[in-house]
Amino acid sequence: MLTKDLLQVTKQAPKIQPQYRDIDEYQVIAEQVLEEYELGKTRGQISKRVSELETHKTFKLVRGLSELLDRRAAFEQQYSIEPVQLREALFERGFVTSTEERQHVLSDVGDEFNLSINEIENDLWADRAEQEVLVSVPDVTSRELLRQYNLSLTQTLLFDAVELEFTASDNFQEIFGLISYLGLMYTVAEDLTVTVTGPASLLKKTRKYGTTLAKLVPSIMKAEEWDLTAKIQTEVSDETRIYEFALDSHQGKLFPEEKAVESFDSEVERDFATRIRSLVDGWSLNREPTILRSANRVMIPDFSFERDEDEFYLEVIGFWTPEYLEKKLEKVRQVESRKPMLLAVNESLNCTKTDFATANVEQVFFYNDQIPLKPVLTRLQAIDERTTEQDVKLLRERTVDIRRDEVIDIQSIASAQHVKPSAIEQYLTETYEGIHSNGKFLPKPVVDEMRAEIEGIESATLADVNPILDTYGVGQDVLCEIGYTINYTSLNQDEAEITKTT
Amino acid sequence: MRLVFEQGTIAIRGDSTIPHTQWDDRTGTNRALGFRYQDIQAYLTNSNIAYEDDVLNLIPSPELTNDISLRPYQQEALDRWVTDCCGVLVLPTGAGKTYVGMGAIDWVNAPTFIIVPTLDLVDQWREELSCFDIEIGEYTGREKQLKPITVSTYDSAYNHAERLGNRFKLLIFDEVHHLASEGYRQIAELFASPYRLGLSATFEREDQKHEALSELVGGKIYEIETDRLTGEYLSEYSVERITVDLKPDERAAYEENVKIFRNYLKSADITLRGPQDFRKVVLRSGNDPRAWRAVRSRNKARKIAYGSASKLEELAALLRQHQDDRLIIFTRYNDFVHDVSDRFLIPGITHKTRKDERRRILERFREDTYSAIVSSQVLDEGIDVPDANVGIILSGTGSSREYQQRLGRILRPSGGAARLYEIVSSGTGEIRTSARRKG
Repeated sequence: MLTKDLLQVTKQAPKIQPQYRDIDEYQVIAEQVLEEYELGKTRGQISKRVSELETHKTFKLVRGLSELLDRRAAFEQQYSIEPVQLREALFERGFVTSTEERQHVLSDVGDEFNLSINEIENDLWADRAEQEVLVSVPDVTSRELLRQYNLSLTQTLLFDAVELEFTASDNFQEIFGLISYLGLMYTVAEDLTVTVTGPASLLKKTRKYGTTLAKLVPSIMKAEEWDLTAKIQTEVSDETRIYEFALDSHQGKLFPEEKAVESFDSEVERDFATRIRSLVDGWSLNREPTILRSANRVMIPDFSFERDEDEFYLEVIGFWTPEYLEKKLEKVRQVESRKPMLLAVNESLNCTKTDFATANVEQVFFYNDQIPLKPVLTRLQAIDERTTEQDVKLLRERTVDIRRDEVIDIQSIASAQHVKPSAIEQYLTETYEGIHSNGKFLPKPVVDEMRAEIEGIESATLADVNPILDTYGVGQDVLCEIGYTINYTSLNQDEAEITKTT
Repeated sequence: MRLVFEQGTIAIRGDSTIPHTQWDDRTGTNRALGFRYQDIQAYLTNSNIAYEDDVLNLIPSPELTNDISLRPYQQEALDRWVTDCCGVLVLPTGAGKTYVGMGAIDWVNAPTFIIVPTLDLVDQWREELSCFDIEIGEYTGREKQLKPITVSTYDSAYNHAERLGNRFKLLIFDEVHHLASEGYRQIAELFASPYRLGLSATFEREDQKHEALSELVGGKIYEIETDRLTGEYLSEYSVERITVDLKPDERAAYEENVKIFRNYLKSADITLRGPQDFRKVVLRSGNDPRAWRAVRSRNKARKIAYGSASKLEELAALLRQHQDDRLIIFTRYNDFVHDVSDRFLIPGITHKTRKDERRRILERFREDTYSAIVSSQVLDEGIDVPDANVGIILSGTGSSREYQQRLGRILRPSGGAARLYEIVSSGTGEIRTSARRKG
């Protein structure tokens, strides 16, 4: 954040926008400012040199960059005798009114401290900020500095915000944790846009929460995708007006690149995620995937399992205080979720299923030390079976025609029919004669044709039939299905003879 | 029905329409600003509506009494306030506003939050409040410690009103005219404290914003003029203006910079009538290189006029003339304090001076080890400086309030007549500000 006088905006009613600085275009200026922070220089020297870099177009930028750098640099007072002590010694000799008198007093005090007049002059004000010496150069690149600058401009603009709206694709725990930590309040629209205000905002349009709202910005920007809008109150020739500010992740390259990292509330959750990840082939496991509305709060489910159109949530209720549990139950009871939700509840909480009787959840299961995988896996399987079954039923109603004289690609029919591949497989098996291999279906006429080709080769080896299989796009597993045995004598496919299964 | 304090607001659970409240969808309650607490209580009581009141959560407090004795006019002011337990008392600087405040705390005998404009005043109040014989709290940027009597700054009170608003029964606003600004006003709005006292030497603001305070603190209920106290409680003083000429090179640089500034004004068709108009120029300086140069030149010119070597020479002459007196020198610029301090070896105080050094300086000034100090704005409002009989103003901005309070600094009843000098540069814009100030 910067001081307000360093904020530059462009206004075009009703829009307001800080003057962001393009990283490539202004890198040179940032570098110039950065270079002035040389070890051993005093604050005063640095700020004088920096101010010489200012032009009418860049003076606020230059000062802003310098303000950010001052915060990252370390300065130190350097002297041999405490300046305060020296001053006291000088001042107690009474004020002087001429240069000669002053020299006289200085040399008198110099004798006392065993310092020359020059040394006294050096140390006398060494505790003033201007004379502090740079001892640690700011650890930042010019590009990072500019990104930080753009972020700070955004935050500074928000000092005058009366309201902030945002959406984010992730990092919810951090964002909402911060909202409540900062004592702000929010509402969530059906499209999951969050509007943040302060308690008193309801009763008067106030900028009081502006600086607090500004603190949310870095956390929102850590999401993969985000967008924010704010109402900014400013005075235009003594009149108070509201401007609109809008920004989203398409302009993300102007801002710090830090992204949210996956984190877990507890070891139990981490452990669960690790174990189940390897077992849920085809499904993606997402940590805190979204926010859900629940009365006038949000609920952030711990996990979601997602594949194509199917998604469900898993919320873990671990060991917490009674108040926390009560709140959680309230949230679960009122959650507005279009997707099913499972609850894993720690047994030691002494809840029973009836506690969740009215909750908007599919299934509740309990755990002790480890969240069991089985209920989740069973559910995944059930979804698989259920949807396959539903899809097959659908296909039967539609009666899907296929060509019998060519290899059928399961996936492309599945996509065309908007059903699961497994449903196509099942439907084809029950409707047509033929075999499956490698995501392909070979209708009987094609199988016959292929078999004829194989039979055309005398004492065929695996190496001989491979090209044939390739032209049909199927695997070696087909050979067994159509009545051949592969007789391996070594790993060499040239020596593996293909014979008819008897 | 239940009333709860929620971050500067009163949340009302249970249905009923109550004046000053509004329905809040975010929480499913009615809500009002903190300062409506008393009105809501009164309304509910008068309408015979039973309610649970969980608004105040006062800091546990021992008896808050002291045995200071008030001067007759201080007692008169306190008596006036006690009638309604709200309102503003106007007393000139040096008339002991702090004592009236302490009288109010003694009378209310309940947790009190005192809000002052500067950290210096925090220190001063805390020192005075030590007569209550309990530890005094401080809630500022540098320390956050809540006690039955706690002193804070307007800035900290504004930032933390939602956390503190129900912990105190009495609010004291020192230099209450500060409260009128749009932002600070919210302190009074978010606190639920039912008792409120405003103290000021100069209640009327030029922008008339003080009128907005009556709803939040109460109107002006007592005022005593400087004239009535001069002689018995405040010392008399004389003012002398000394005009100095800029050095020839300064004059040349000054004229050149002023010319750049004026030319810009003329070409941009801007007439300077007040700070508003100047801000217009500053606003343009972001896009307009000539405006930017104009602002730079104007600042240079001001600096030349304020920090002229002639002023320092004149100051040297005055110092020689007042070798045996006790002097306080004012200047607005920290840099100029430094220059004076360095050149004349006079201890200087700015807002950057560390607390312990400041205390040492004032202490040594009090014991007469030092006979002069130089200071920037920090001493403007009520910092308790030891008595001095000569004041020298080296620069100033010229609002009537500032002038009055600066004078107040040396109007301590120390016996003998006080003298005030004002050194201004001739033929510069400064003459104009100074003349405006006097009028």
